[in-house]
Amino acid sequence: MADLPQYPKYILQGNVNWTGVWTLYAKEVRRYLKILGQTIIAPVVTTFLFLTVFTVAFGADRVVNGLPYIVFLTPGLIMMSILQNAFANASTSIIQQKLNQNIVDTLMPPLTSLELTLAFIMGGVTRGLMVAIGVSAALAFFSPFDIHNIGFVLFHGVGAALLMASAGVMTGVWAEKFDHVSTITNFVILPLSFLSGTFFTVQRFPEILLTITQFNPFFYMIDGFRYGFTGQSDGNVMIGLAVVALANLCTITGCYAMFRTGYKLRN
Amino acid sequence: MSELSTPATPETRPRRGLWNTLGLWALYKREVMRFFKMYMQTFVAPAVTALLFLAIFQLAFEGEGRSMGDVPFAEFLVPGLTIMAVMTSCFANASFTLMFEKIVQTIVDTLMPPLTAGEMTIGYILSSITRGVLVGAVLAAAMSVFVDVSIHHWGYVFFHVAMAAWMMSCFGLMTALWADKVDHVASVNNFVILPLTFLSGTFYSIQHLPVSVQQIAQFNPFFYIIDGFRYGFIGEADSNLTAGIVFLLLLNGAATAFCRHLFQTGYNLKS
Repeated sequence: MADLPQYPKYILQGNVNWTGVWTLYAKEVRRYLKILGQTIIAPVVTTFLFLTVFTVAFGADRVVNGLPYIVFLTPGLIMMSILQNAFANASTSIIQQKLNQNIVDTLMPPLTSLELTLAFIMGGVTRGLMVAIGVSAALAFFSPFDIHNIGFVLFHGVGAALLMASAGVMTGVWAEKFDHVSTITNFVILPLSFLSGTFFTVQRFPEILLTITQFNPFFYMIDGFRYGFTGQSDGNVMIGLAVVALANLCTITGCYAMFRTGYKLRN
Repeated sequence: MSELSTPATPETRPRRGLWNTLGLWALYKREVMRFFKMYMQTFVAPAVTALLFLAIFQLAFEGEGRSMGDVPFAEFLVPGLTIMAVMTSCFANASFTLMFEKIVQTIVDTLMPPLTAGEMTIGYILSSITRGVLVGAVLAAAMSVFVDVSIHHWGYVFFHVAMAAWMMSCFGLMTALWADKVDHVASVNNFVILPLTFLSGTFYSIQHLPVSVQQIAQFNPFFYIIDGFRYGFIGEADSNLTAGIVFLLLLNGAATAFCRHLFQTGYNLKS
């Protein structure tokens, strides 16, 4: 009897199938780059529209927390685009593969659950950050911004992208039709990204909402990100770092668990 | 055997009067049932989004006594948000239904039945208008819970909501007929429709814009729609209302005729 074919040696380098991870990641990135107009340019244009509407409607002379409104608004808009796009990428990619039933092509190759998690999440992170860079470039044109603390900008930028990409993966895996993904986007992600201090300071909230906000990771991401730019924050920025790290830990573990158990993927 | 040799002549055109009323009704009903089936996305989602916008503007700017002219800002905003949702819904409905049929190639099921180009145009446009008007009603009801909405003139409200729905349905049909993939429809939506609905006075009075931009607005149907609709609520307008009404009627007539022409020639539909 001939021996069973062996795993090609080159696939495993150390304990991780980096070739496989890179292939899946590259596939995820190429997927959205192919529809660049919808995935990168459209969010940039929409964010830019928000900036126009808010500044034209209310004049550039408003002051929020001692800052000109446009300076206050810009970090919020950049963060909003990261949140929405990192989520959209992972969730639509997976639900589409499930609907087309070509998800098997992702599950069959010798990729461990951890490798799948890594590649899908990084795809979403890449899109979120690409949109953020596009948005920043477009907005910088109209309102030059200073950076107060680059560490906070990077931590919250990447932290938000990771969190939303992993939430997107979980949504994509859980959803059975496109409708489910749209429902989460419209009724969870959109409200949270709109109402967690993107456009206004949460000090405007009534007492009860303010208390709830203390537990909202979206608030800490937006607030911490804005602190990185302006040096002003509504919440405690140190607690923010902890909350974002903890939230990421939960969602990434959740993704891993879903792939590990094959929840709604294998039967 | 005898049955096979003399096949029954199918009734090719079940007419009642000048129109194939039955066919038109079937097309209309199918379209309406389609969007009712996903009522979460078609009605609830736009209502939530509009309430979010309302909340944002209220939270961001409350307590500053902001007003547009003598009208409190919230009252200024409600008509703008309503008509914006009507327009985006109508465009989305008309464009996506036809685009989807083209992609999954079920469009033959619409082209084969004995419907004339005019009947197809009317069926698609009326069903989209239905969705737009219902979305507008849902939104206005949802927002009136939070904001005091008073009506200055019902005629303007109805006329402009109908014109908005009609216009966007025509634009949606044209886009879907032209488009070869969903990407094309989304591009038109993101880069033409969305900017026009956002920037034509939904959120601010056009008088806040530079004079040069204000002059361009004279040729922007979106501006006349938003302005006229808002006049129906608050009784104040930035534009010449009569000019707007004439302009919209002419534009919609032309757009409908053009849609019918596209169906008639089978542009991007029949090969």
